[in-house]
Amino acid sequence: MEFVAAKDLDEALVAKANHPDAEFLAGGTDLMVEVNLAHHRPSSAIGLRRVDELREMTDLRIGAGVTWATLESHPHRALAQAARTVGSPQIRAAGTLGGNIGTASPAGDGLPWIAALDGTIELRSKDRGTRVMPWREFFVGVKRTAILPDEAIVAVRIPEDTPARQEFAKIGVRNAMVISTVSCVVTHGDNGTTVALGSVAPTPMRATRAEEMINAEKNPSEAALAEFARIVSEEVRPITDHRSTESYRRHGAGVLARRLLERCLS
Amino acid sequence: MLSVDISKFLRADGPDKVTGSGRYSADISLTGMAHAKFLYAGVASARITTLDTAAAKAIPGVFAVLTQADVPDIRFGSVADRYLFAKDVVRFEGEVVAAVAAVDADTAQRAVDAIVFEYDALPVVNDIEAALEPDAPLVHEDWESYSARRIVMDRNIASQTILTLGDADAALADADLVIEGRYIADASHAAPIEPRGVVAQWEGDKVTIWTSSQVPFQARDGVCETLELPTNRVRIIVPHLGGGFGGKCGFHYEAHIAALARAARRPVRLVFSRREEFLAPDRRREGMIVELTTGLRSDGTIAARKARILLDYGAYSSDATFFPHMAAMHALGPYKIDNVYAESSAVYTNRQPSGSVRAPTAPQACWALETHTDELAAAVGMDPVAFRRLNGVDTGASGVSGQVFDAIGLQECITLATEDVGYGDVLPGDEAIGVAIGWWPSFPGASGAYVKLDSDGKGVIVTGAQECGTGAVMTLPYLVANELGMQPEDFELVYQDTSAAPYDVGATGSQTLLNNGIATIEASYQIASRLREIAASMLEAEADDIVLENGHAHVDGSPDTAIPIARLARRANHTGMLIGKGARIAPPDPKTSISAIGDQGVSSFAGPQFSCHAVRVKLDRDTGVARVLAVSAAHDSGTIVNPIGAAGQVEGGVLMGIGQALTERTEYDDKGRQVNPALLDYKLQTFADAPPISVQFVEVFTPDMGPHGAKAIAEAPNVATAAAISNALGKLVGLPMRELPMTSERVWRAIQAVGS
Repeated sequence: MEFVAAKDLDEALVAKANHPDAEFLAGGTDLMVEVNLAHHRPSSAIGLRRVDELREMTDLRIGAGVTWATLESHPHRALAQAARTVGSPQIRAAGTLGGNIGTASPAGDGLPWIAALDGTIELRSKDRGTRVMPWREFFVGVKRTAILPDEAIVAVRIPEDTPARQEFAKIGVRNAMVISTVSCVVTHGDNGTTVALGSVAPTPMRATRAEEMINAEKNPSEAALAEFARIVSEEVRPITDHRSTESYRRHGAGVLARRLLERCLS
Repeated sequence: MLSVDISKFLRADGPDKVTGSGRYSADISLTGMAHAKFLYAGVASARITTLDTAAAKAIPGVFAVLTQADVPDIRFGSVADRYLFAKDVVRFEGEVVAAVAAVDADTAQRAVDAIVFEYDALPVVNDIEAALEPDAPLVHEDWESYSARRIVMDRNIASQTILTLGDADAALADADLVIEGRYIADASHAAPIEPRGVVAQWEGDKVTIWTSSQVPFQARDGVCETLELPTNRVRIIVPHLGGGFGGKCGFHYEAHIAALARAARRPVRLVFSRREEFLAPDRRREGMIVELTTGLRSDGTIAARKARILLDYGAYSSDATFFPHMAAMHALGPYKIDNVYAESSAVYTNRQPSGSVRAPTAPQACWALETHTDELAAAVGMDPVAFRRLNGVDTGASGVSGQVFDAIGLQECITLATEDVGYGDVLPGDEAIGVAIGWWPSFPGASGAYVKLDSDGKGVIVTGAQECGTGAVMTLPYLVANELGMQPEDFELVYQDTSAAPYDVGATGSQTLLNNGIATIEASYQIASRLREIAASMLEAEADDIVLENGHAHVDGSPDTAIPIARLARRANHTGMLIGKGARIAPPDPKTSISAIGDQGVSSFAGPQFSCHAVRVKLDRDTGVARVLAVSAAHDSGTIVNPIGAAGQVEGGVLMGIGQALTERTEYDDKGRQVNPALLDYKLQTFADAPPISVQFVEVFTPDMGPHGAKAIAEAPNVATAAAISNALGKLVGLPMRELPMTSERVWRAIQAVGS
């Protein structure tokens, strides 16, 4: 396997333009699992560890190379909460938000947060420069994205008027190093409530009907909260696989969404 | 108890393991060494139509490709039901069909891929109840030709034991209350951290094999049997072992790699991937169905119990022929019952063979029985702990096999564990305490050791025992130092080498310190005796009056005139050397009065260990997610020789038990293939899951068993934890748990069932 350790973003983009089949290697916590399980044997890889530009971070723009370990103390509460649930300390020290986005697993722990805050994905290529894509357009299926072969994920951007409250939680079969059975982010602020979920559809998703319903309530009653949970359970589109069943994931989605909403409202 | 300070126990192998300087099997690299890869069946049941290795052999860099046609035509295993390589048929997905040795691992894998392996699929026996149907396909068509000896076999029943004491049917008919329950446990895995490695090197007609084995002498015997070699041509060495938990008991791939090395005419190394570690070895914890019927008298005493047990045996016999008998003992339990009947069958399936994993059969059977026991207590309106006190065995009582117990500490274990966990305290509504009791035998058996002192007064312990991570072998220097008035650091250990040391059965059955400790102490007695003789001649005293203490010898009562042991050792070279040998001879088994058909020798529990585990569990009723908040474990394992090591065994056993209770589960698809042969989807417990574990010992001195009145310890802590968690969840859910593991989703479904 051919390997290029890019010194900076330009060098990485040149390499990618010349080898569109090459895989980007950041933390390696997804790619190396695929390689070790012999699911995937890339012909070449472009290392991103030395690319400092990808580690730039502000409150509204997070570089793709920022690790979970760094994000554990990010001011965005739900992102920090999600970061703390990723893998083990070793995995959090290596794995990056950009890797999570590029892999686009339905269970990606960082993805519901991007969806809940209506984030955009900043992409760049050698020949066409930067383009910014809404998350809904970027994530197109299970581990499938709208990225082009010569592009790199550079950063995630989120809109300026961030909600006052945001909460993340997930259900997994143990307390660390676990793939989410369901994950959820709820935000609440002047613009109302948003609900985003992971592991319950091919891509991260928003429970828009539940959002509309709860946004019509001034002070949600017990019955309204129950209805909210019910609609979330109804809206999600989970599957049954060896990790869980459709019915448990539906139920869990409703439970998490309601709990997080209550936390946001408290 | 020891004059040596074992409260500051330091493992001699600790620094090696912690710093990475220690060498494991996979670290061994020899000049000219080739790399091995296996071709596996990949299908659970099939008849081989083509097996052509010509193309694989033609690949440059391939040194040897072997199939069953290239090795002696010998069947092995408890009932001799398998060959080294698949012959004519394959019976589980992880069966080895062919082996390749090549210049590197990638070339070896390419050669494996180039082997032409074609087959006709056969029906898959994938369900232990369906396997007993009269028209069920047979996993072994020719089972009647196997060498079953005292093992009861019948078609897909690989081993059956029927136990009868008193008259269970009559007693059930007379009982005031009869309670029935059915419990189903999934298969699971030992999952040691080190995937195994094997390296073989021939020099002339002798082969040395380095292997990740818990039982080097058994591995040697397997090589000798299958390759038709005498023991003096086979040497097994185990470098550091990265855990076993039973998964590395038995004979596995040592002969395959030895045969490859001979054919390749160079050393060969095999290193397993995690996936192979899950799929291939004949060691998995068996799935089990337990059906219990218990008759109660109105005073809460147990009148009778019947048990029907089916075990998922997998495709081959491994060491598991005793499992039905052992499972029956645990389904009947450490209770006073005069009328019992158990019919327990291990059933062949087209799945990975089952084999001894830590306390084989006990965690599942104990989980079933103890869940059932809480149902019994509820049925007679008794507190479940009071019910166990009333019916549990005690000193002088007769158990389910008619064995009358000498001094034992079960009742005190119940007291200590329940008091420690706060049983009876008012808890939040989402918390409950569950309690379970368990038992497990000690296994006294043959074991040998040498001890020598060299002329500078430093010593070497040469032992046949195997260190599988428990610290049992690491405790031996403390025992020897204690006898000789020296320090543990004065001794080197030579171990895990079949050509250096006398026999030991290996790190299996919790028997290492139990047996080898006796042998090693006996060896050191001989040295102590020689040292006293030498000192006596120098001090002009009687040998019996010489005290060995603080590295010196002195006459009792005159500590000021002391001779350093190093000086005695120098002198010893001129007067016959300081060499001791010891061999443990097993005492006879305790008597029983039970009748056993298909007797596999475990009706009698020598040095029986008892335990009570009490757990506090918090349940999220919305999701079924359970969290174990605290565990209090009390154990009667006789005298505790090494408190740090023993507590470590209990903590590890409890944590393994929590995994069995909540997350560890091997799933199969409808073709008999594992769905989750990876740590990504087979969930062990992590530190983030581990609760505080409080360990207490009831030290009942037990004669004729282990050193200084000890019983065994390593497996017993793995028996009762899942059962205790089950009982806590049963209280919180309002229904007994019927499936193991009790995953969040299963618990949630039980909650739904109560609600509807």
